[in-house]
Amino acid sequence: MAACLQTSPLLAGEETQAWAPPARPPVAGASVNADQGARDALAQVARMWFKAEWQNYAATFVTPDGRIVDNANGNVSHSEGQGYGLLLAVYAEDSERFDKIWRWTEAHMMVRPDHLLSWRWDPQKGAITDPNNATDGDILVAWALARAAQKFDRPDYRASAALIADAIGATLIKTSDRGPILLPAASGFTHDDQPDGPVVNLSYWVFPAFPTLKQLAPAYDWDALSANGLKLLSAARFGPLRLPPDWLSLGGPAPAPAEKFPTQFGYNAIRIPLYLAWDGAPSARRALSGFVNLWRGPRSAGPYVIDVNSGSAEQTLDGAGYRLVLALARCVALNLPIDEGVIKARDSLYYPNTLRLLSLAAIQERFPQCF
Amino acid sequence: MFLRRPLVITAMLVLAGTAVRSQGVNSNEPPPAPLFADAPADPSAPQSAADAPAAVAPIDLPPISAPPPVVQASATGGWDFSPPKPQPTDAPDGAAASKSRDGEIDLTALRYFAGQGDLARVAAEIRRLREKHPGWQPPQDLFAQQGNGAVEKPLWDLFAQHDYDGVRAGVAAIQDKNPGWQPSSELMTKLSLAEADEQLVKASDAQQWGDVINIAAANKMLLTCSNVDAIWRTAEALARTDDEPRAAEAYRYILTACAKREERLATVQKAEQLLKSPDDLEGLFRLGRRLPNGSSEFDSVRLDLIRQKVGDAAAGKPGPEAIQSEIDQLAAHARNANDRSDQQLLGWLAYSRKDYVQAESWFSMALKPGPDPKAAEGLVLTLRGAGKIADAQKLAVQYAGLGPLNRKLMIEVLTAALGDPAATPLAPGDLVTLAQAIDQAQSAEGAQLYGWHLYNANDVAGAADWFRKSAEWQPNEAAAVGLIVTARRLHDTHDYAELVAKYRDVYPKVAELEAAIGGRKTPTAQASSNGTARSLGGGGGGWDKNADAIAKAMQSGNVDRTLAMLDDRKSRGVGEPSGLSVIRGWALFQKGDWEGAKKVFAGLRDKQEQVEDAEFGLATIEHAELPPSMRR
Repeated sequence: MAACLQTSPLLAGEETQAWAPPARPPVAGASVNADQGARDALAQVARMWFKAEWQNYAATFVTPDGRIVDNANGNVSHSEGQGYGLLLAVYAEDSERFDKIWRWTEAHMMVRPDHLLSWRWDPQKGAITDPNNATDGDILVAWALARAAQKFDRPDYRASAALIADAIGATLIKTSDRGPILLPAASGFTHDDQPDGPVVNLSYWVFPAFPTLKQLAPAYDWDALSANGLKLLSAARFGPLRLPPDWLSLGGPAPAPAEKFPTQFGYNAIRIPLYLAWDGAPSARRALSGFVNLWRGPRSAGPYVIDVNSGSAEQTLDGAGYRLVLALARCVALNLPIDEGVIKARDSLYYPNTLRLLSLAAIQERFPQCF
Repeated sequence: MFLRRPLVITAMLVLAGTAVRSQGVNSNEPPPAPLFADAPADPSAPQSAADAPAAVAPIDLPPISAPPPVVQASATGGWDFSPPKPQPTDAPDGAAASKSRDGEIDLTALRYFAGQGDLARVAAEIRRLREKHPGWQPPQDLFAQQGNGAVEKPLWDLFAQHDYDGVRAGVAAIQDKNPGWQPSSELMTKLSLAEADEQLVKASDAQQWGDVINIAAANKMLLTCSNVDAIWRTAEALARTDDEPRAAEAYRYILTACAKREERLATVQKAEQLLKSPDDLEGLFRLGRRLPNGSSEFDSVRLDLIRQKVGDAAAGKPGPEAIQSEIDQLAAHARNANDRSDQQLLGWLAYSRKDYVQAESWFSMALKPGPDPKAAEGLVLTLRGAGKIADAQKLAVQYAGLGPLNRKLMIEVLTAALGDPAATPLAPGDLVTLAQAIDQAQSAEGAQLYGWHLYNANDVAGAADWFRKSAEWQPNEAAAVGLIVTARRLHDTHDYAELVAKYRDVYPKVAELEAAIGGRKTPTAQASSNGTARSLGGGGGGWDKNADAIAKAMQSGNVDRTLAMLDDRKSRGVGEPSGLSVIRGWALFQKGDWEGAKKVFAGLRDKQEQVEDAEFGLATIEHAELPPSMRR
């Protein structure tokens, strides 16, 4: 197994399969103990493999000073990416890199007075180009910091996490006619900003993070926020395919795809099944059922960006990460094993590759049977 | 440039007026998966998700998820079974192709994928339809069953019990109580299909072929791998209405798209019965999957079909004849696999065609590993048919012990030789074998034949024994006649009268015989005054010493000498009294010259001389002339 960990950096090129995961240990066993043993072994392999993949990922997308590079968007960095980087580093038990990423994030993005992160940093300018926040980035950073505080025994991380969590609670959780909602950013999405506002993004409900945020900022009702997210999700199913849009308007008599945004189930909403699966609670699993048929395995069509109103396929969600997210959803909701090729395939772009690593993190932590 | 995730924020909203940002690197996304309809760059790609199986099979979909290529409306209004041809999307009739007869957009594939719950395919099909029909909006009820479950549960239960009327009634009842309620499209789609399936089966059972085709055409989704029976029935309807190309197409669809082995085998069997074109059939056989041992999955079926044809032909049943290439195929298998039953089958086919050379070769091959009753029977019959009587007899005796049929055949072959004056006389050993076999088999037939053999050889007493056995084992006319004539010739008056009385009303032949003899006294009664000769010939005018000598020669059993003396007398110009003519008749008969004997007896009868003896002689010859199988 040790040899497996010393992998070369990810080769350029999409979905290269140069590196093979370790063989899966036998699962069946004659006794309960043997079963348990097999499960433990599988979990261990999944952990080691995730760590190896993290090393590949870090070598490609994390700069030595701790900046996560979105190579599909002019090599900018954003709070979401920093949050994902922190989260993956703590799952990979990479304390050194975690610290570098956090130092960079703190130094370059924590420029607002309210302890939220400015969402976008441009290497051309060497500076923040939009001071607004992105709520999912804030949530991810707070969640990762809190986990790291515990894992690496760093109370200072927890203090930072609590500041961010409080800021989210104070600035971004709002009451509405439809229950507590999470604004996508401090500015730009309320009734005053959007013709059909408030507008929310259901993929910003990072369900597995809420229990941690509840501990960090107990003054806010994270449980209600989480439950309302599921409720909104069940209401926000549109068109013949009953899919939620990336951007959802709550300003009208009923939820609707937001006017000023493409009416798509797309690059944002693809994360909804990831977070639902990762959460794994029965209510979240039930909500997963609306997504499990978006892609049905390696020889199936899709997944696609879909116009939610017409149900029409638009461009292909072309990347191993999107497929792994949906394969994980199928495994968690339907107990269908994930095809080995889907687990192995890699991406060359930041976003799908990140989704892939997140899925692997969820698998090694909670669903080794899917591995 | 493709749109990517909006990581949006106010400043951008203000600046760009849009909430998206572009994806910089991977701007040229590949077209959607080529199995889907809308890749105009690849004209060979199927244009519909519901396209041809060939487009589906290579990506290894579970066959049941592949809707068939079936019946599509064609421009002429007929129904076209052939898979839709790839159509360029800009073709003027491109849109029409996915419209059904009444001009509505064909949602069959869409509903099908929706029924399967395959969102990706539904989305791709919607895209395809929207490209062809700009402005078209898909129905919103594609997945209407969601949330309908509890209400519909009883309806689904009825559906599961095939109570389709009950489902319709249930839907109406719910709608009565809840105006505006709609059953799920899944339920209604499945219900319509199930009802159509019922109708199709009914029409097919009633041989209403036109109805079958219409129902299938109106319900394309019936014709999937999950309901191969419907495809079979449709194919049969097409074949029976002389639309062989589309029938073949239907079979081809199954063999291309459907996986179940038994169904695939049954498909080629059905096709074989219904398709007339050997080329069509051959094409289907070629779709057989390769088995691990390198053979095709259909090889066995194909051989079975040939066997059936060959077997029918060999048995003289009407039906399609095996063509030479098929026979060659079976022959190759028979040889290579050393398949004894196929070797025999080919033997019987050759035998039925009187190709005794081939038949002998096949039966001999089948006998190589060891004795086999049927193969032995075939070989003996073949040799007999080929005129190799001696060989047939030899092998008949050799194989007689294999089974009752073989013994019977042996008796038949040997006794046939007995009754045939042209046949080589049996060796004494064979005669013993034959007699033993007849006894062992208690063959009434064999016994009466053997009796006649002895009778003709002048062993009248021996003949009587066999006739008696024969009548005992199985009463029959030939034995009865034999018993009567032997009684007469043995001068056994009592037996004669008793036998005639016993059989007269049972066997017409006996009645005829008695009538011919005219109920006169037996020759014995007249014999004493004229000496022994009288008992045979009965005198006649011109009887002399030479005539006595000839009669004596005859009585001594020396037929050749008798005939020589008769001919000598004739050549000397001495007249032949009618009594001597009777002797001549019997002598010729015993020499096997039945025609000569017949002429003599007939001449006597015509001259009204020695009529009684003449009639008796003629009756005996007539009986002896019948083939053994007709002597009962």
